Amino acid sequence: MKTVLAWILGGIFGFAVFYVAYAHVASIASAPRYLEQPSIKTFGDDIGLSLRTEGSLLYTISGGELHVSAETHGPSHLEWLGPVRALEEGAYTMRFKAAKQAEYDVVLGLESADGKHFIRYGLRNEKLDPGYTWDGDALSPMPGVRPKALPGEDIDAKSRFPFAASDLNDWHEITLQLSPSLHRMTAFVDGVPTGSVLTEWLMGMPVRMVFGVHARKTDQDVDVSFARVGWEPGTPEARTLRFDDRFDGKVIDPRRWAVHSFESDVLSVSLKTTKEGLSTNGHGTTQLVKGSAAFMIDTPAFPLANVYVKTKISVRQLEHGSFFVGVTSALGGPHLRFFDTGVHSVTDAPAGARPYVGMVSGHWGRDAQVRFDPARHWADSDDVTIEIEIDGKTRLARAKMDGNVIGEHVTDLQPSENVRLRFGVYLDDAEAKFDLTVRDLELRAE
Amino acid sequence: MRVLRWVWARRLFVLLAVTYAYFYEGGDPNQATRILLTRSIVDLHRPDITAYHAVTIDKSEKDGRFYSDKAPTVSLLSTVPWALMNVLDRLFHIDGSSRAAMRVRLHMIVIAVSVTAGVAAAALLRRALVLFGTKERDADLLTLGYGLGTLAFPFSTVLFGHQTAAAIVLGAFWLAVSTKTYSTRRLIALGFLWALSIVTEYPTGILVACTGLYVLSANWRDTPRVLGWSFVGAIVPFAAHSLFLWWAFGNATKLPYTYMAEPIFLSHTSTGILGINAPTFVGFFGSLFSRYRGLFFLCPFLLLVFAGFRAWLLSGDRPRELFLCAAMVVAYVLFNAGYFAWDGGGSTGPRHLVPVLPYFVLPMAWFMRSVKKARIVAWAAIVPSVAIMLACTAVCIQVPEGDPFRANPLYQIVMPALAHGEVAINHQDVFSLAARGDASYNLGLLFGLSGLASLVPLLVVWALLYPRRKAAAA
Repeated sequence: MKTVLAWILGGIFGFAVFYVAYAHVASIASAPRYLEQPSIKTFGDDIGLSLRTEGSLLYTISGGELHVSAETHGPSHLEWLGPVRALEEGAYTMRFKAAKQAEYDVVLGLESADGKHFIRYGLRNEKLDPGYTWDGDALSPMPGVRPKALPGEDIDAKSRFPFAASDLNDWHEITLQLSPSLHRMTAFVDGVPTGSVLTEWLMGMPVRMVFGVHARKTDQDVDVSFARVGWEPGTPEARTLRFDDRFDGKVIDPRRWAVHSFESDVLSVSLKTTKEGLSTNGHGTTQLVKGSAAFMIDTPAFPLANVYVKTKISVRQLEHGSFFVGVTSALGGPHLRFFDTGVHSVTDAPAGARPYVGMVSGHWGRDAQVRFDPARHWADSDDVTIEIEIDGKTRLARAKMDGNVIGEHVTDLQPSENVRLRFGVYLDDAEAKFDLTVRDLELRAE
Repeated sequence: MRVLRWVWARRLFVLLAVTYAYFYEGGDPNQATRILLTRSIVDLHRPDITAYHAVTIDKSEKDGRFYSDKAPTVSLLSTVPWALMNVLDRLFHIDGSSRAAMRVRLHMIVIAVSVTAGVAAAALLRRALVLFGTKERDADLLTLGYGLGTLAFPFSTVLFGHQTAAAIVLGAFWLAVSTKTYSTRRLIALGFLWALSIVTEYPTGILVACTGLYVLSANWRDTPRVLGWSFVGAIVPFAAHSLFLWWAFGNATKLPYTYMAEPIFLSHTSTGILGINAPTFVGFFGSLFSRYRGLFFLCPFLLLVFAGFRAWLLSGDRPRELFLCAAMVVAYVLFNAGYFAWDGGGSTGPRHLVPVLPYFVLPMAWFMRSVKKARIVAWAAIVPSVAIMLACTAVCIQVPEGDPFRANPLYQIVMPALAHGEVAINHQDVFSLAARGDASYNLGLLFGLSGLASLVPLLVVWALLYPRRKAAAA
């Protein structure tokens, strides 16, 4: 008995010593990565960042600016690297000025702590066709299970945003919005969104900011100035979402929405914000042999509690397809559950009705099988209002069209489960066509 | 000094402990549901995980509340270190909510439960090997093969129940085979361990039945006494288990699996006996020979089991123990081949076979002493097994499910990752549903080494600690 007691006490003592030491040492080793202080770096005598250089580029600091210049004798680069941080939501910014047209890049981005992977955005300066471009690695969660980027989201296929000759010698600001929760990085130049890419740079990955100049060829007259670079942490993962979006700004708000456009050889999509709302049209092609979403726009994930969604759409054309809005689980694959409603095109609408019928589909019945409700309500005008109400406690989900209940079920979505709100258009076949405007979307998820 | 000498004499087990503790494997639904239950019990004094359920799909549901769907013993055992860490956090001003500390917490629970179980299983196996007449240095070698060259290695680094159950069943096996007469105290201890293993991993009831019949067969006329006293020993684990079920579900006999919430599991656990049906070819082939989850593909060292059983049979030695080991291996393989999740889901190898792996190794004792150059053969089998298990443990244990006949996660995921210098690529996190790039690590990575270099300290530990006994001294 004494021996057993001695073993237990010894075990507890050993555990306690090991835990306390490990917790402190691990905190010292990794806690700085998780400090999320915003920082704006202007350039005094000491830049305070690690420098990585190769070739003949030189830098000087004067007047609070960092100047990079040289006549290159071959490919060269001069890069500054920030401290290693765990990747979180946030934005990098860089204010720069390029004085001359020559073959070099001015870049801002991030790279993995081990330096093996990077993703960058910036000016690809050249004499004939300068522009802003993406470069790097979108990563994948595991080798061997690399997901294919959706059309329009592949980093290697991104088109460039032009840099006019008149832009030389002017200050420009590049912002790189990092949204690991949306699996997306969005670039802005002087406040104008210039594109986004799908990435698997995951939250928590040890990364460091990198900016600098890459000269691609010999005998290039490089002359670049930097006024500041900065890091601004974003808001933490959303717990509640509450907004009313009319989609009438210049762009779709990247904090609220991730746009998945499936524009490709098999279907055509156009999405445009207008004063009336999000105007969207498109069609299938003969290569569309099975149903496919044309586009889908979703919010960041939030824990499911009470949800109210109301959207108003104006339909000009909808054939062989549907407009849907719904709540979907953030987990995909066999764990995907959703509750969708919307309107589907029909050819046999009753007299006096428009050729769109209310549609309710989703998971209810606790068996993970998708179910569809029978048609109940036809649109009586081209302006349709769709609503969803979900009670977080009872899981009762109710779909309404123009104020009429068209479906009511106890959904398989679980309370507190991470979900997203999504809307989009689904094309049934090659003859599908749509032309509609999403005029307003009100969301209360809390 | 005496303590150091004592530890040095057992440095093989220190080697295993350091190895298992070196890896923090991140999360997955199975570990998450266990640790969430622990957290719920200690912090919220509740038997359900409703407050945290959103981060796992491994759960049961009853009356709108969510519960862990696993046998509760591992979670209950973990409450002790969890509560102790709560106290230590307060005493030593550790911010338990920081990311660094949260990861350390799970790691410490794994060390307290699974690493300890892995080392205990190795120690018990070595004892059994020596009991069966194996030379010390051969016992060291086979123990090393078991500890690092089988699934015991990866599953001693995660908070699953298999390795804990393996240690408990092996404890009962040791008590059963190390004597010919069973004292009352031994029977009580046997009953305790049998019941404890069942409430840790329910399928180990198969192994308990085999060992139980072995004990009874020693003297059939002693059956009432054996059953009686072992029942006395079983009372505490069974009562604790039943009390928990009653607390959670209001019914002491309904297992958590009965209330499975996730339809992709429920569709199978509601067939046969909680998902166990007649053995299937795909289950048998897949769990033993396939490139997808094949035990022999991933642990070629275990192929020596066939040579071992042959040598044992020919020796005529210990026929009852031979029959017992063979019965345990065959019965458990058949069980696994009939279980709907024979592949273990997101797993390295057929993880449900972990509790029976020691009985694959024990017969090798006869191989070692009946075959010339047996050590060379054993080393030749152990080295690639250890290399594969190290690769899998270092890169990712929770590899995705795939086609049993075509998927090859070792060469499609693990080796390519190593070729790119990447380790700890599991992005599932116990504390967050979203994938995280810092979900898993090893101690080398934590302290600044990168990629493959992070494994070098571990290899140094291996080189320093493996006991080199001279043949003459054996």
